[in-house]
Amino acid sequence: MAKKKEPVYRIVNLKSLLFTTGIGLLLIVVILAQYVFRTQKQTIVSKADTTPGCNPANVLMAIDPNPSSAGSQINFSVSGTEGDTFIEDSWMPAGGVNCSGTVWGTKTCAGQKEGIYTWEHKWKKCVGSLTNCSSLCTKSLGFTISVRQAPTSTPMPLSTAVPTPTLTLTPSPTPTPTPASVSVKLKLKFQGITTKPKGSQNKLELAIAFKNEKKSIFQTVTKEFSADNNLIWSNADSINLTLSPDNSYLILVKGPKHLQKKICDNYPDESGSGWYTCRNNSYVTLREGENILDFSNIMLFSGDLPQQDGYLNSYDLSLVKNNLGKNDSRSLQIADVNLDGVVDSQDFSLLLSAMSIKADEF
Amino acid sequence: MNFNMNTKMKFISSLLVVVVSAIGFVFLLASKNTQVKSPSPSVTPAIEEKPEGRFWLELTNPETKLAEPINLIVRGDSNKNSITGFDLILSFDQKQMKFVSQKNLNEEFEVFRTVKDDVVNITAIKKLNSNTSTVFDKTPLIELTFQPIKSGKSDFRFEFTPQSKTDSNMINDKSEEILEKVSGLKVEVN
Repeated sequence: MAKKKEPVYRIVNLKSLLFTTGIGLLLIVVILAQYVFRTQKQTIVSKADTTPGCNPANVLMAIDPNPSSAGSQINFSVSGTEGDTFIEDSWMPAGGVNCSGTVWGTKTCAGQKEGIYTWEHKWKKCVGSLTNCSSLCTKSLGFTISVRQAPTSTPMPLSTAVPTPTLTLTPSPTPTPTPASVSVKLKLKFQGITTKPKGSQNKLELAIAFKNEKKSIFQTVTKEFSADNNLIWSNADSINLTLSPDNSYLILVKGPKHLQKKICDNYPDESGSGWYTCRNNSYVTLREGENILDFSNIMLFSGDLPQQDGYLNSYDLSLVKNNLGKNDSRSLQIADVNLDGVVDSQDFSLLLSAMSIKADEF
Repeated sequence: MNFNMNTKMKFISSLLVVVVSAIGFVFLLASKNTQVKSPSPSVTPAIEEKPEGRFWLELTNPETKLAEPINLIVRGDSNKNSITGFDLILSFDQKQMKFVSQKNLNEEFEVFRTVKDDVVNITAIKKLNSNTSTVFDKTPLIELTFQPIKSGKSDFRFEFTPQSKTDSNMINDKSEEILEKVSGLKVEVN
């Protein structure tokens, strides 16, 4: 009998041993899992502890059409791998477009007033949660709104009389006027640039706008200018325009660190630096072929430093004041007004002397 | 022999339970200690302290009479930010008030003023020779003098949109616009 009971005990003990071991192993696995989970969480949290930085290159902005005309729809679109959090958008100067709400994807706005504008998109880069974000990041894009196109008049029917059959004449083709070839070379002078800039400094990208209010024309071109030994800035390549020759143009010139100047004469002159202003009913005449417009007897004033907003204010002044003495490429690009290779008191003085102008002319 | 074997098995299994429990306990303690040692600030990432700039207006004399000019003090607070420049774009009711003059109350700044219609535009920039840090702490900046034209209520309002650089601004030493709040003023002329 005793011999028969022995295996039963052994089986029970073996079961109990296996059960206990199983429970123990399970416990170890649970505790280990908990340990690993906590360690991972700490790693994630410690990663999130560092303030994220944004990269404007990851945000793509597009404006279509550009240039556009007043009264038409303009599409502003944003895409990319960041730029969709804490969005703020502004269009400067105010009054150019009528937009509301936030922009992500594509937003359609109404062009209201002709001019050169800047669209500024602001965002924050957030990692992990909306409380772990970079400071506000900014990217801008310029665009132009031209004068509203005159609506094509649709003849209204005078009566609804049943038409009587008449002889069908083969319509003679209406000759489409081909725009005459108009090209422009400009000669300009900039305030404060007293020596010929060296190397790559001797290059300014200017926005030139041609405005004919009578013909509802507004065309803007961007062209590179360089200085000669007499410090006269001109464009090597002519500006080829799709404009009709006329004697009613206004020309707006804006440099990369400058206030926009409105010019209404083919050969403008001034008795004091910066005194030239357009007289009433005074216009530039553009003729077919090449037009050489010598604006070098008037001074174009600096003041609106990058990123440009059409005004000279404490922001522009601070860019010079806060970069005084610097000659790195970034500082020179934004605040070296006289292009002498260093941001210094001369640049500061040049901005102060433009305080009487303060804003772009239109 | 059978009894001994049984006892031995029971002993071993009990010992195993104790050992496994002990190991588990040690792991648990170890993981808890790690938690305690690691600072918890990171559970919610620290919210970046936002720079805040503020302009507001104060009336020097609370009793305003039609015959007497009124003086407004513009004060500023920059929340520990060092300031390089500022713009004040202040609009007023032309039917009620006429702008007379402005006075710079902070010698560290150079001030430029333009007045067009019902808007006073003041731009101030730190002087070129000033190299010290300037923090606004309820600091009086500009005194503006207006002449009341007729009695009644009159509003003085700062033109301001956050982050926009084309209106009132407070610019720090990194050329960042930090102005976040402005407070205008309503004045009653008797």
